[in-house]
Amino acid sequence: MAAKTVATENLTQQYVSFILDKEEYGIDILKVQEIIRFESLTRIPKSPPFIEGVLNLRGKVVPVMDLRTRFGLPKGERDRKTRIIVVNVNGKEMGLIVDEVSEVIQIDSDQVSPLPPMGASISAEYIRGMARIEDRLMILLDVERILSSEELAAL
Amino acid sequence: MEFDPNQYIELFYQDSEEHLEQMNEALLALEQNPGNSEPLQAIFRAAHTMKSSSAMVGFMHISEFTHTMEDVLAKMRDEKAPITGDVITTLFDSFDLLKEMLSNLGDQESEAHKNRVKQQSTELITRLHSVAAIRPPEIAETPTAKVPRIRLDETRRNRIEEYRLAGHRIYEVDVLFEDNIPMAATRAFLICNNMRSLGDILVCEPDVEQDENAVVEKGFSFILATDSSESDVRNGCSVGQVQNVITRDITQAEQFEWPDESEKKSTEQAPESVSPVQVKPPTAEAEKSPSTSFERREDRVRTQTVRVDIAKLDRLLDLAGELVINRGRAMELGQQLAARRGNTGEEGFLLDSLVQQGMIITQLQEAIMESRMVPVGQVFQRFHRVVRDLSHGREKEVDLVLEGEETEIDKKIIDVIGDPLTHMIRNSVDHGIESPAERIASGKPVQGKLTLAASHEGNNITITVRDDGKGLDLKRIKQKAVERGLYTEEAINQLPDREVLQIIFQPGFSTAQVVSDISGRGVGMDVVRRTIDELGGSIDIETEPGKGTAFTIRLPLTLAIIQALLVEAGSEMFALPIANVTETLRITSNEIFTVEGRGEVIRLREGVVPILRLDRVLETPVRRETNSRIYIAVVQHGNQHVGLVVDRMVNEQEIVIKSLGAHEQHSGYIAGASILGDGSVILILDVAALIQETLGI
Repeated sequence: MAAKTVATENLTQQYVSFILDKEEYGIDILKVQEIIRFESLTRIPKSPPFIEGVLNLRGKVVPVMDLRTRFGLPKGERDRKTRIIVVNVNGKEMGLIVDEVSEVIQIDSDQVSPLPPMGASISAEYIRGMARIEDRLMILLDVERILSSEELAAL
Repeated sequence: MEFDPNQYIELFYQDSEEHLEQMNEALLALEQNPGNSEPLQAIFRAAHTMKSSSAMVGFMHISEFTHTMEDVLAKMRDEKAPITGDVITTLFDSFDLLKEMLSNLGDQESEAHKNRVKQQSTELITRLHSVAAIRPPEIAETPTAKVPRIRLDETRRNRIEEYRLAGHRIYEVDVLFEDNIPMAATRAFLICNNMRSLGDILVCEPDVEQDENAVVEKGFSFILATDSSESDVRNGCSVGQVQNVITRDITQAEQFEWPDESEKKSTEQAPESVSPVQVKPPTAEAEKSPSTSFERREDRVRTQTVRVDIAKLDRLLDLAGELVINRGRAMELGQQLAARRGNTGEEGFLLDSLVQQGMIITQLQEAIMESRMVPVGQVFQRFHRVVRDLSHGREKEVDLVLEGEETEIDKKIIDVIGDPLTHMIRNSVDHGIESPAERIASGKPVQGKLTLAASHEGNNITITVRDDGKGLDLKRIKQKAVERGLYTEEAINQLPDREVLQIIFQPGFSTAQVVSDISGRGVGMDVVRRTIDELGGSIDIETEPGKGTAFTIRLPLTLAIIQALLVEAGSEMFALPIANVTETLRITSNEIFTVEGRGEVIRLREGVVPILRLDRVLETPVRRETNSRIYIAVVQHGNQHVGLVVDRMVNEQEIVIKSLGAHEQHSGYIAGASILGDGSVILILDVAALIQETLGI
């Protein structure tokens, strides 16, 4: 019993939290390569609607996804706070457009609970769980799933 | 750390490919000149190395097979067995089987196939043994011939001369081991170690220092440059089980004329002192004994090169391309600054240093491009075998002449150009060059001539496949094209000759009277065309009835940087590879006609060219109102032309091709991306896909 508690207690992970349509989300900091300001992108004809375009990241061409469109949320305004989170999953880079990036936060595994039914406005497929942080709730996203879906494979 | 064979498998493949290539060349050389023992030794070396390396990575069947080859070759070499046609055929068959074994390693082979290879291997092993059993009776080894004397080539001789002129003493030393001692190679290595404390070992044969697999049986020889005395040298050689040490002071030898150059002088050449164990000056026969005197020149050359993953070179070239683009931007800013603030002070120095930097970047880019270049001879060499097999099979006599083998081309292109060239060569032997009877009848030499030539032409490389055969029959091509339903009778009669010739590149076209097993299946020339198009090249045909045909392929030197035409459509900018653009036009809207069910077309000289409105097909968010002036870029893929309607021609410039990032697959009409001087990303259009869209193929 005691041993089990020790094993779970130490599972603390760092997350980058960001806002999307007034809700707070978090992604594993280990997947995040960098965060840049929004800049104008080059559109790719005939690409899925959630692919906003490509950007020049120090000489590399990196596709950028609009997370709002990806999750079926209403389109948002691009303003000073808009950021692109560049994630790197298995060597593949992808930019994710978010409304704003708020902070880097430590979350213990005992703060995380599975997704309650009807708990979030986006598809459960992309969600790892919900985290309670004091009085707020944060949706933890599964970056691999967001990047590896069928629509993307066709890109 | 545990030994993991997987790490070495990739290396094994690369090495084996090289060894096969060497084996192939040597076989052909052997066939040309069976009396020459050098090729036999080259085959032996290749088999020997493959034996060890395949065993290391666990391909025991290959190891076993190469072992047999090695044994048999050693036997033939030692017994001076005559190289008969039978031997050569058996060796060729062995080579083929080896190649098959290697190419099938990666696949999940079927049981039946495995068994077949196994059976063939057993058969060949028997055959190899039986051809080796032919031994001429007159050859008897001289029993005194134990240690070969060292062969000296130009390089070695120069090296010795250098040491001699520097005032060192030069000794040639033969070390003879007792019969059948264990670990002879290790003892040899030990002796070399002792020698290195005395001076420099200039030559060592077999080279126990460089090659841990060197075959040391009876002894070895080396040439030492030292300031120590002869007795020190002899002491250094006294490790256990050494039967005899022969040292010769060759410092005073006027010219290094050695047995292989002039056999007679050998014994009187230098004063000899022989250890008391046995006095046995080497005889002429001893020097002729070929048992271990391998020419190791190639190995020496190879140690000066480094194997680099092509992906790393790609990355380097990519980065250099980035620098080139940035250079333009930096220069522009520097000039602006100097113009505004005068170029007398720091601004001037900045501008100077930018210019300097720019030149260095150009050199850097060129150097990296060069590092990716390999001589086209790598591909050409293999065609000797192809032509040999083909001409044997077709009962034709064909002489393959290679020209410009040293011409260098990007590694990426080399890798893909082999197959199309093979097809063209097969085509020329099959359909171009006539049978000996026909050639005699038309007053030509019996032997047909096939030339494969490469050369540089500006920023391109040209490869020509030329035969002196019967030429292409225009009438027959027309007839066939109509029969195959590719053209109507009237349409074909209106085509200029040049375009008639191009028909042979269309899918489903073949003029062969008899379908042979290799060419003439109606696939091939269209694949040739497609491959060359994909490389951004072109192919032309020249033919003269009765005189022959020449196919000329033009390819870019490198694939990473292309010349592109930048165009604007629907307020977005796109790049078209210049290689695909045949011309640009400015027309008015009333020059566009609509053809029922076929879309819009324009007239271009004699013909009609379909057009495609780029903003529509690329679904740009903004569309310009069609005004009276319309810009068209006529693009070509294969022999199909399409006019792309654009809003504006921007300019022509070099761009570095980049992949579209995370998801490599091409998207719709996009072939890749590039980054412009201002940092923005521009997409490169896939002309082939656009043409297919327009023509509804």
